[in-house]
Amino acid sequence: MRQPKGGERLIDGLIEKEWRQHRGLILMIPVLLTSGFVILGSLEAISSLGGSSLAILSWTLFLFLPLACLVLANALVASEFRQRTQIFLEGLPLPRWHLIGVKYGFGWLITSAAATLLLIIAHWAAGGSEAMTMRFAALLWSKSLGWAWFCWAAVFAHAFLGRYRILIGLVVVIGLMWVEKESGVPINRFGPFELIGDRFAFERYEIPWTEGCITLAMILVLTVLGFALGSVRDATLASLLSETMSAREKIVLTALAIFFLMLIGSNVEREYKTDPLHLPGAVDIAQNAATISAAAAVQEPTHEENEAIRSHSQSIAECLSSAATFLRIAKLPTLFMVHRRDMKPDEFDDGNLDSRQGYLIRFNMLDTPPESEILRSHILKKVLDVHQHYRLGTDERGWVLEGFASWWPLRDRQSTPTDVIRSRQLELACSGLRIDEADITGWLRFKENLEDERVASTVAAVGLMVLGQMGEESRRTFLGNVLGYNAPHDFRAWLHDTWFSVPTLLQRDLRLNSFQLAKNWTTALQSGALQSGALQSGTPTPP
Amino acid sequence: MPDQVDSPNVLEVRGLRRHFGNVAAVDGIDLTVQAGEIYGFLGVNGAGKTTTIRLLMGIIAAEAGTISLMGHRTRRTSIALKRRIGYVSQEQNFYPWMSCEMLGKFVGSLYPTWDKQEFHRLLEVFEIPPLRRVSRLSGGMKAKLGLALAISPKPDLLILDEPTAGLDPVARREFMEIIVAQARNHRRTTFFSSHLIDEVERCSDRIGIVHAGRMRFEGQLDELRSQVRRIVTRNHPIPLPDAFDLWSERSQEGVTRRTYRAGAADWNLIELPEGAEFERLSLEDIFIACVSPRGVSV
Repeated sequence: MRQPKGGERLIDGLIEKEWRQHRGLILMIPVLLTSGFVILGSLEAISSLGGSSLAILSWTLFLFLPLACLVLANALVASEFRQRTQIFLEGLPLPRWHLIGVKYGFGWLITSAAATLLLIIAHWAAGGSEAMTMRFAALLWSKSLGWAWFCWAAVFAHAFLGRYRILIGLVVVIGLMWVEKESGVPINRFGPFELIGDRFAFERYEIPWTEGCITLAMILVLTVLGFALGSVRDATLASLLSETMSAREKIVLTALAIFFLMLIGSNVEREYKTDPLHLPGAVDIAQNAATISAAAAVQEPTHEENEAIRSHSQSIAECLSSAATFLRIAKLPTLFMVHRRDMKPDEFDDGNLDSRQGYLIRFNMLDTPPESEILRSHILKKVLDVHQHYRLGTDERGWVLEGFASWWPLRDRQSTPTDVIRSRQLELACSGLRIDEADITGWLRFKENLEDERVASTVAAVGLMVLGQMGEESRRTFLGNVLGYNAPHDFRAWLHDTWFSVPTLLQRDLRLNSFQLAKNWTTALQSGALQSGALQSGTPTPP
Repeated sequence: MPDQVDSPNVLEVRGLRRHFGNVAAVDGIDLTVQAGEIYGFLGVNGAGKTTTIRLLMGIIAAEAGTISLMGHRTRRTSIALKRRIGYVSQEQNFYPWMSCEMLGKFVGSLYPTWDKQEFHRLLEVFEIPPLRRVSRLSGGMKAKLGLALAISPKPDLLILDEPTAGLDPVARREFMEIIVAQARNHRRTTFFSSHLIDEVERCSDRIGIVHAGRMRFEGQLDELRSQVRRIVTRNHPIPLPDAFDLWSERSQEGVTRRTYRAGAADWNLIELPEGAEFERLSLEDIFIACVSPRGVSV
């Protein structure tokens, strides 16, 4: 009888050992990820960002899958060194690459299964509200798997970095976050990050070839790195790099190498043009500066729904186009509108797209009238914010945006500032807050303290009306300079905002300083409120 | 790739070197282990015993030198050769969650020659409960389990790296008796390292003394005893021919003790003058003289 060779039973033995050793953890990983999905879904901040369970899935993949990979790699790789069992293994006739291969394959299988499971759960949680075509499902699955494999390859290599691996990991992650924040280098647009990025939940057609290829290349590089680190006999970087280098030098070098690899990749990625979303069967409208693509998130929209989509597209295009002309903006970001049957009237979900891709909004087009001032105000505000890469939310510029977005849809119906106030007088009167007119900062503080966004925007709109007193052309110049400047998506935007701050522009375009503005503002607000009779309730009482 | 060599020796090492940074852990070691013998590899802590064994096992790579294992010359021991070696390391770092039986199954999957019955028999002989978890075994039981795992594949060569380190004297003696019995009954070549002289003296056919990464002596114990002598003089030291290798020197209260190894020289040709005499040396005395820095008082 033929005796089996050692190698034939070796793989079976290794697999059985890994399974027996880690089965508890392996079964815990789906529980961990599902819990993460549920937690993120229950957080309003996250769920309102994405507006669908698929967006929550992308957040879960981004936040919790790397965590699961870390736990898994720690158990599969790092624990061997921690428990010193690698000394036992080294004495056995066991080729290292067999051992590493089994561990890598084990983790690869588990992360793939976990990503697939999450996708199934997300689809189930969507409750059928997401039209799941074969193409869309395949896109979601391949993107999820790409991200999962990237995470596993990166974490697997990281696990071989020895006792300093946590420090190295932290330095790399924090370094990348810092670079992205301070320099504006869009690391989140790089290969694997883009796969589960802004477009994950919405892109139903385009195959991300470039990102896919970058991700596959990175997976390959990291896998080779992981196997190389694991195959080094002493299992430390000291053996991988030259013997004469100190451990500290080696660690710093490795961290820098990974960091610069990502940085170079991100800069290369910046050069790529971002393709817009493709919404199958969409109504596409291009009117002057405005570009709109609207579709239904259902397979076969009814005739009424198609009409509503068309009507909304036309109405919003006119609103955006006129605003852009007024502000002298040549091109606004593309607006993607998706009709959702399951949403309430005047309920909006903002899709979390990158600013260069455009802005996506999901709402019920059938039940929300096209002339809705709230809808127009919301879309205008968001599109202008996206136009400036989400920088307008900062204090000094925020009130201008809110004021403009609130005022613009009403501009033809209202002839005086008091009319605007009157339309929301009750909300303003009931805010119960003391108005501080000392300077512009006081106004901003007042605005911040108001919980109701509509009240805040009303107050801001009054500010805009006050600006009108300086002459229409001056106001237009000021607004155009604040809202219309499309700064580059990096540190140059920060420089621009510093040099052309709102107080500077007030002085330059309107010949009005902050104190005068605040004084006039208070008067206008007080006048409007007094006319409405709302102050009889006792609030607010500006001096 | 290992070369085929025609040699009756199970293990031959020539000029083996390995540095860790600036430290020469193994500095040109030569040793020979003949078939069926028990070879005691003696040295103080840090002498280079474990590094030598790790080099023999292919765990770390040699910078220079050759290893001939069972007729195959190589720089680094291949997996195929490792399958013919039973290895017991200094520390028993088994998976603590495994039962002894499970551990045997795992290790057995790596050896084509694994003898399951023999493993179970050894567990029984060593009084190790097969279903007990490794984490619940005492140090002595773990060492015996390591030996059972090393013997069960019926290896041609058994390498043990200070297998009794950390065991109490009773367990140590019992363990070494098992090793000797195994070696004698199966004519299994056994190479074990130790820093305990009595252990090496009791069990070994031949010994090698390593110090500071170099071999200071290799041969039979009787040979060592006959070659090494200490001369005690009251006045001036007696000059000896260069063929006599001075291992150590100690002077106290006008009495000088010099320990020499004769090597190729003959002690019978030396006639001691008046006032000088040979001192009887135990193996421990010889070992201490051997591992002290050359010519320095001990």
